[in-house]
Amino acid sequence: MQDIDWEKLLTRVTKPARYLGTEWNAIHKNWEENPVRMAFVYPDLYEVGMSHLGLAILYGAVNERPGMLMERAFAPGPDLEALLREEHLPLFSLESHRPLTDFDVLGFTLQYEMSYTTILNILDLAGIPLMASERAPEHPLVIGGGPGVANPEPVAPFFDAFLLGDGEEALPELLALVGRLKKEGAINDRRRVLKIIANLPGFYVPSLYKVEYNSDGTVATVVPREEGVPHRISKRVIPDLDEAYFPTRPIVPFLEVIHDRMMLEVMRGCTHGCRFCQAGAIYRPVRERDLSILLRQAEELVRHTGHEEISLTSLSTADYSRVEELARALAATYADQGVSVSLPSLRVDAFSVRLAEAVQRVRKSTLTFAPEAGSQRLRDVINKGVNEEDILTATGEAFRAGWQAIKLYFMLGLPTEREEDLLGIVDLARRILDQGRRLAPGGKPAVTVSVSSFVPKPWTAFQWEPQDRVEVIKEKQKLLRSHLRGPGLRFSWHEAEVSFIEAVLSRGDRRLSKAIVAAWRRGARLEGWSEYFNYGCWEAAFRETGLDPAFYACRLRREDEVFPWDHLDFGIAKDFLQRERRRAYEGRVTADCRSGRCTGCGVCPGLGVDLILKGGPRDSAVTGKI
Amino acid sequence: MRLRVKYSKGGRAVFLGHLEMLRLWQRAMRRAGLPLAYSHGFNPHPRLAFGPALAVGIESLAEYLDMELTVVLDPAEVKEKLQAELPAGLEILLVFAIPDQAPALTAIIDAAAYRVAWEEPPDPKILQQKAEALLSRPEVQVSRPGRDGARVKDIRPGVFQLAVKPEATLAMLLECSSRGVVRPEEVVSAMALEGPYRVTRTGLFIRRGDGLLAPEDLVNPTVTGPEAKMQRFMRR
Ligand code: SF4
Repeated sequence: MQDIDWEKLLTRVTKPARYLGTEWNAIHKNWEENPVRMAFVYPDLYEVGMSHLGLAILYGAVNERPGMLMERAFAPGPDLEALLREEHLPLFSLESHRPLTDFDVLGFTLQYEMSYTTILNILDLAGIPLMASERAPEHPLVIGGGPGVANPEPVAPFFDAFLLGDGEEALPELLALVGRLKKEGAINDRRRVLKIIANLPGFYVPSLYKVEYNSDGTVATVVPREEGVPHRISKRVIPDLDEAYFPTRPIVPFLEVIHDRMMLEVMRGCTHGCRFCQAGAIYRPVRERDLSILLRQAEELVRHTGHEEISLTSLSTADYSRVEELARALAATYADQGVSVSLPSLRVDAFSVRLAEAVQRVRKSTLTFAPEAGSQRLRDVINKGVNEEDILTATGEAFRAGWQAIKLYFMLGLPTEREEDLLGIVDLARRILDQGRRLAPGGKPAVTVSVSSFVPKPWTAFQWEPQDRVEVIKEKQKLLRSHLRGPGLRFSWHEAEVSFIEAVLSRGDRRLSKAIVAAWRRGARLEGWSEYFNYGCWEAAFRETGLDPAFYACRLRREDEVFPWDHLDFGIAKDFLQRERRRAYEGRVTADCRSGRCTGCGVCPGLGVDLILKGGPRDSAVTGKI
Repeated sequence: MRLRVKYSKGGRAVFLGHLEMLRLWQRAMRRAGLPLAYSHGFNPHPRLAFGPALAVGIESLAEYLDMELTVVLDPAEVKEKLQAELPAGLEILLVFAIPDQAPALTAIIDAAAYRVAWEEPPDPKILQQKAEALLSRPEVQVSRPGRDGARVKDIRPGVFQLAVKPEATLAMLLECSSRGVVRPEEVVSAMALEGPYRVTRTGLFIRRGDGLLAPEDLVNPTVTGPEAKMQRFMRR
């Protein structure tokens, strides 16, 4: 920062407001007085990263503690990247505009596979060797967290450590340790430092584990390289969210970001048990926040941010026991301050629609539902727990309440899917459109069908399943496209090649790190943005490294196969997942454990935690755990 | 009630564009507990109106903003509360009430003053010559990029005054109204002046005969004296 005129640099980029660091509530702690310094790096553009609740939580949780500070960094836009490279300047943090190499710890969040090349790009722009093994003691410790650590193996060689699970307690613990080691002058002994970190609960140091492979290319074992390193690493869980830190002074961005609103986290985890859903598995168990605490946090958020919208966030907000009371209270309290309430994750049922109706004052936007599959048979296979009547009741309620546009999310390529399941999507969309015409005469109902492609994920019942080949996915998309034509119908889909790369990386092993490096060298970065994704980079990368992507994405895995992530423990028992997979093939649904009947996923007994429900009118107490 | 705010924009805040400023002030007002009035209708928008646009990257010592509140408050209290909620680089200089029927800032302001400072100051004599030369030209054509190609425009009528100031800075008074806007960079390049420089907007004015009134002079005589005390731009 000393010699570089950042302000001059910023006059040459299109969106300088991304890089100022002086947003409201940004924390500028004194560098000298806080000897442990971490930069939280979001491997995507500012507008994406600043929409992320995890960043706000950890930023606050670390900065409220004495002796440590956290600043932010994001992937630079292509224009700033070009300038940095041209002028040989390092990537910098927003708050103090210091090079990332000035920090003790760099923490990346792994939110999606398509950010992995951006992580490499950021390390490169910061002047830090990509490979953890090549870093010198003066380089920052590079750590990772977030849902990607459900299987961090493809990026393991780039990281010194990963944090599994909730970070608001574990991260300050790590930083306190770093502070101690710095003070003792021991921080430069990287090997020793890593071994100490490997013994902190929830931390996984990949270089201390050795992976052996079978002759067929599958993993044989992942074992510690030395004594004193745990065989299995369990994720961290905050047992009670009411006791946990929550940021009520989050940064208010200058720019309009993707989710430009206050976030009130009503609960963590989800009990539905959809068989394709990784988030629903790795964030278990469900822990709800107390209504009175949420109301207080909302009041503080409004007062401290001045935002015009408050969003009740969680994986499935309509499930929160006191959601109706909460949403109505907030809508009533803040309406005259011009603050609206939004519910980002609705269930497919009439209750959710009535809830949305209660909080939305201006009804002009689209209402979105996710039936995920087009036939009852397939919805049972994935344990979606929704039937056609639920769907039509929900959409009917929406039309009657004045919504004109309905958006439906489906997944294509689910296990056991057949043509009639796809045609079921078409049929459902048409019936909803007809319903709209009937219920809102004179209106212009519109139904959008948005189809993503199934990506088998670790820690789900479908982790053994192959993904459809790219050609097959494209055929299926074509079929849907040809049927979803006509007035009032819209169809959108995800690029098949992107889903394929996601599938390769999500269940990949360490060997894939070479392909990630090769793709990055060929220019891959910011791949969450369709305008920057270039499949050619990946095709060349696989060719160059001799890795077969289909081995990872499209292969049916043996029931007894050792997975690259088997040494990690997210609480979910593998035999529970096997049981769920068998039930899927039998078309048998498994009940939601919120109802009080534990379905034995293993999380609660395995991690010594419990469901925490706040006993709203629609919940019964949880009893009878297995 | 309607309030007019005069503020300065400097430091990292110079990088904030119009939309960002709009959001920032609305949120600052909500934090400050100042109830902003909204228009009625299908898509209500806040009653918040800025003066003439300021290009991103330019510092200003005199920006203006009109706001309408749903309650009546002491302007001094508004100033204090609002200042406490503004990010670094924005400083409120004045807050004063204006009549409900007062015309909008963009309807009255017609001139903007700028100061141009070079990183390596040019020879003041040369600067003086160039300024005089430009002012003596009957027309000064510049080309402006537009949607259907560049268009040539004569900016000379919009260059009201040019003056060389100490340390070889150049003061400019340029047209800034709904009829036309002359940008300081256009003048600098028409004068064929080289080298990196920094522009600061030093004032926004209403031209009255030979004199200049700042918006605060117009409506709030107690702030800077009666209209008779018109201050001339060149003396500033
Ligand atoms: S252990 Fe039982 S109660 Fe706990 S999350 Fe799993 S299924 Fe639900």
